Amino acid sequence: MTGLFAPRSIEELLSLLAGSGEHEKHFIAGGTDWLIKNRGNISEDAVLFDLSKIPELRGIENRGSYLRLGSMETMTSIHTDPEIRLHAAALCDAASSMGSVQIRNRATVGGNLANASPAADTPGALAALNASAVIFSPSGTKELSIEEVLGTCPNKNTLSDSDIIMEFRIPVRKSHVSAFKKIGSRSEVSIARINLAVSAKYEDGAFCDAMVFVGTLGTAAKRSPEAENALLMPISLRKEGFKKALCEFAGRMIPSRSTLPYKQSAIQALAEDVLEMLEARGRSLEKSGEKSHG
Amino acid sequence: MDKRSYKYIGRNVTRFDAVDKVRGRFPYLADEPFPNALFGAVLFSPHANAVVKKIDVSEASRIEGVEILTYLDAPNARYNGSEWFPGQDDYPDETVLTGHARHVGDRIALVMADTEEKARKARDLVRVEYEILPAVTLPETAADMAGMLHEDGVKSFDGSICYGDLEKAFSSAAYIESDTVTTPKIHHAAMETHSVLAIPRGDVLEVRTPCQITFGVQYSIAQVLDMPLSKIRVIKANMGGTFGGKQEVVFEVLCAWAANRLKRPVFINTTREETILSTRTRAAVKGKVETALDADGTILGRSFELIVDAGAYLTGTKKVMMAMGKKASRLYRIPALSYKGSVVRTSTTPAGACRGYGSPQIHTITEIHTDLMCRRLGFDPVQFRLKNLLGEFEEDPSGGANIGKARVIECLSRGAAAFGWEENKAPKVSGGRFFTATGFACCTHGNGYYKTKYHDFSNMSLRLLEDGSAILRASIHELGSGATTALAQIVGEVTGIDVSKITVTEADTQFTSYDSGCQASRVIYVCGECARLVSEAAVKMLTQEASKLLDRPVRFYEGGLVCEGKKLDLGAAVREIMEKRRVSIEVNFEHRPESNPASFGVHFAEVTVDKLTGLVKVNRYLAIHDIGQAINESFVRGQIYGGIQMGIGMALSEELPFDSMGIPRVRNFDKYHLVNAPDMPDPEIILIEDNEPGGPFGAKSIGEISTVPVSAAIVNAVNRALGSSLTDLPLTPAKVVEAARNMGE
Amino acid sequence: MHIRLAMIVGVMFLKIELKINGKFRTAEVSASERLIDVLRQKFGLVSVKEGCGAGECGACTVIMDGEAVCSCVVPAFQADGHDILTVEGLEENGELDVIQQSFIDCDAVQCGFCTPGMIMSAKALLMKNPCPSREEIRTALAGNICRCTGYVQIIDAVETTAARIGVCRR
Repeated sequence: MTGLFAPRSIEELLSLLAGSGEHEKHFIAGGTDWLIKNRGNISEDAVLFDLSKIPELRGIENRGSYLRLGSMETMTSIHTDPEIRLHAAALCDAASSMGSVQIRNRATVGGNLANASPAADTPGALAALNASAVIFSPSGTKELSIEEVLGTCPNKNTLSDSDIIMEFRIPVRKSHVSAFKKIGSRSEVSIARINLAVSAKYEDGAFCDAMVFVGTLGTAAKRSPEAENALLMPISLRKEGFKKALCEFAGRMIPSRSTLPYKQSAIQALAEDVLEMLEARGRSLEKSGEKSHG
Repeated sequence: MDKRSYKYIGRNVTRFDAVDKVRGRFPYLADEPFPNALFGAVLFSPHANAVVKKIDVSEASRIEGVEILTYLDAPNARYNGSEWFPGQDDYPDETVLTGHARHVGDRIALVMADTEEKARKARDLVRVEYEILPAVTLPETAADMAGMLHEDGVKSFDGSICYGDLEKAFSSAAYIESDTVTTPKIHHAAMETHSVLAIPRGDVLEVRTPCQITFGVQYSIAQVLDMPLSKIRVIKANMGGTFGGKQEVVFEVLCAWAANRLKRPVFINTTREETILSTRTRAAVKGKVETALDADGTILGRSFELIVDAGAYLTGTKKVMMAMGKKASRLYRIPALSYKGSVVRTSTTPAGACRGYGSPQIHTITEIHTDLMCRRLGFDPVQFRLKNLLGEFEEDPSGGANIGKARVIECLSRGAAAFGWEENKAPKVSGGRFFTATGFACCTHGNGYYKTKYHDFSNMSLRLLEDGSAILRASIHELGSGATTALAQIVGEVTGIDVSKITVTEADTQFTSYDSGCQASRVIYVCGECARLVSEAAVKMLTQEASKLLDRPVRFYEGGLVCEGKKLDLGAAVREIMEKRRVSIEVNFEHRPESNPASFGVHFAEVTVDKLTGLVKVNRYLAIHDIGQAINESFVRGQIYGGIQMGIGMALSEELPFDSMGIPRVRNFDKYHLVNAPDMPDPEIILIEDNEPGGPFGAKSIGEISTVPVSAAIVNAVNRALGSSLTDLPLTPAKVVEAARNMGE
Repeated sequence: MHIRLAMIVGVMFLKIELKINGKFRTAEVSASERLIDVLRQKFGLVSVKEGCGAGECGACTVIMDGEAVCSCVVPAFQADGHDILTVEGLEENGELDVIQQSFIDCDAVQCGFCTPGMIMSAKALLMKNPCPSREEIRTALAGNICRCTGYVQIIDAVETTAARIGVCRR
């Protein structure tokens, strides 16, 4: 028996899930990747759950200590949201650089993580922002870091097939700045060959508490401690140190890939550009802070 | 006639189909399901070189209403879908279906059902067992592996062009310079995928196809089905782009055969992946060019050795290879030349016609070489070219047609001034990693087939109707370029009839006259001139008949009939002639061109190269073309912009790569990157309009040539920016980064 | 609790209700059907073209609740309850929309296959941003591939539309 369900609430989804037993389950978010992958070969006993009508999976709101981001929010709603722009600029960058307008209008942040593509843009940004994902399943709700969800296998994440990403929680941190950039083979509408997401605390031109994630080195986002350390270097050495660290990191992650020389070069460009974005954002943060205090 | 007094020539008349197209009501084949037609899904091979051991259709045929034809049912007749006239000696090595798949996407069977969904589902249920053979993926070793791919064992299809004393040229040279340039296999990327509809109607088989040569489609079908040409009616269908991809016969013969066999209409439509893998591509070329120069930079001689990749079947690739050679002597003055081309077959998607028919490849090779050679020898690339470019009415020493009123020197000198070549010659660096430089390239292309091995003539009828409107019955294939509207402008200019009252037909082999089709950049120069001449003949007939009718001299003056100083209404005249003299004003005219001049173009590009990412941004662009006369300037501009888009792609991002098993690495636009709007520059265009003899109102071709110099201009700019010698296209980011890494470090 | 589902053994169908070009419509759709299939096959809206089937070329672009989407990657069941606009819905009383007229006047149409999708992407942009810069237009059209025009006259047409709508001063 096969079924296609469009539940109107989490509660409804839960009861449907409970009744779906061992059937192969598909959760359809924006559908952009799902249709391409599955159209024409959906197995006869699969059960499909359309997540688009569940209000609990929507919404972007500032809850004081964190931003709550519903997993069904689209790339467009994310990059045009003022709270995201203010507190999670890296995610804003990632969402606005993904695909075309048409795809950004459909693709969801939850789907982007669940799809587990190594070239995905938003997971790295979320990871660098130290966000967590609230995962819902019939056995209960859990909160996992993005890194925990991503796991270490390419094209696969650690979610089980009845786990649903409900929302993301992005910490709201004063004095933090973040940025994301990717390089594809066109300036717009291109799968990332490599991407870089960084968040850090900014104070008088210096960075601390940095989190650096690099995407497409085998998996969607990998954390680079050496690059995080490099960001702590004195300003005069920082840029070169950051570039060098990322280069070494890429060499460590994909030592034998034929694409390594290119990625090592491109990541230096990303390092320069992302650093510049972080510095500019840091300066304007300080400026606005002065204003609001003065 | 003074140009400014033209009523329609050079004017931006709106294309006839524009309103329907913006309303979404211009029906392509797939938009109008034909009643009772079976949808045909082709079963394509997933292997590059494999023999079918067993094909099991039992499960698929259990679905109600499914019809299956496999290679076992198909005729053995071999054909070459690039031929459009009997006697063309293109080697026939293709069959409608095959039990020996020679590329991923080769046609094994046709599965038909009343709906697309059902046909595709049934197609996927056909079980095929293959014996997999080694793939032939490298053109360099393809000749040695030929027997593995084709039982005929033909290693290669070679051709050469030779003139002058090459030995002397090279032995007396002050410099001999050589480069090897590789151009990629490219997908045409017409936005409409391939489709065709075949309808048996009594003893006539009707085929509707968005094609470029209806009479070629008719000929291929007639050969395989062994039917008289007259019993095959091919109608040009509305077309969503082609760029040469729909020039050769691809699915038409298969569809016609299936419809004829089942005595039911059959419609074949393809997905993007199927079109990419199973139709045609631009032939990849590896070309070594060697030039002998005297001490002051005059070309003494040039030699070429090329390997051209036909893909799995020969198709028109030998024609393309020879066309490349034919272009080699029509840009620069080259006293001695040797051109040797070798076409090999590989287990990849077949090549064939593609916008420029070899011109983009040959000019990319020579123009990149010319720049690198100039750099190595210290010659200024503009001055070097100005010294060697052909002047007006020079002869083509290879025996081709006179080059006509060549204005390539003006193109280059005006372009260099307009683009600020001298001021921008030196590369600029910014931000440590951004290198900006300019490059340019020159090119030539033809205007029909006169003085080639193929005949060229056009035959049209013009009827002036009793209400003063007109129908031009012509075998035009509107590709989207606006050709039918442009021809109407020509008719309107000659007859004075309002262009909105003129209808220009497209090809229908049953009702329109023979024409070689929309190829070889012949439509404006040959068909357009035919339209002009048939219009003049109609006007002449009209004045003669009107004179007889009124028994007074009637003249045609300033777009109207005049009798003793009084203007006559054209429609009324036609009406009265028909009524009283029982004569209709209808003229048939056959135009046999006696010239085939060259069109020329020079393109300039300024690029910024990011040496860390390898991404190349085209900042500024200038295209300057010697086109004789624009019939519709806006159409001309549209062709040039589109040509630039295609050429930038060939230079930087477009290619169809295959792995060592012959498995395509690219199957759709997610990885096949065409230039999109953010990466497209806003080119400046300069047209040199100096009246080419033999063309309608002095017009000559633009559609193909507009893409010819683009890739070389871009590559030359990148090489100037980095001081590199990149010659392997496309210049992917990885190649650019590698070249940048070697910059003076 | 309200569950909207229709289950037929062996086949999956869902009845959807949606608004297409201003009219309420219903359709039975299967799980593998896409919005483009519903529009073309069930409602004859053949302006919606399939160029790649993978959301990469934009020929199938329609406006869904005011946003441009590739109808080839929208599952039909997700169109339930939404408002769809195609090129066929742009004309009012037989009059072309300003953007359609601008495409004609700027000669932004060649083969025409990408045209409806291109117009819908541009329309969606102008609905949100009536005075876009040339760069903003390029970004809005980045997901619409055209092989004929090099985009130049298309971008001109969008600029012309904006000027004709008259909100922005150039």
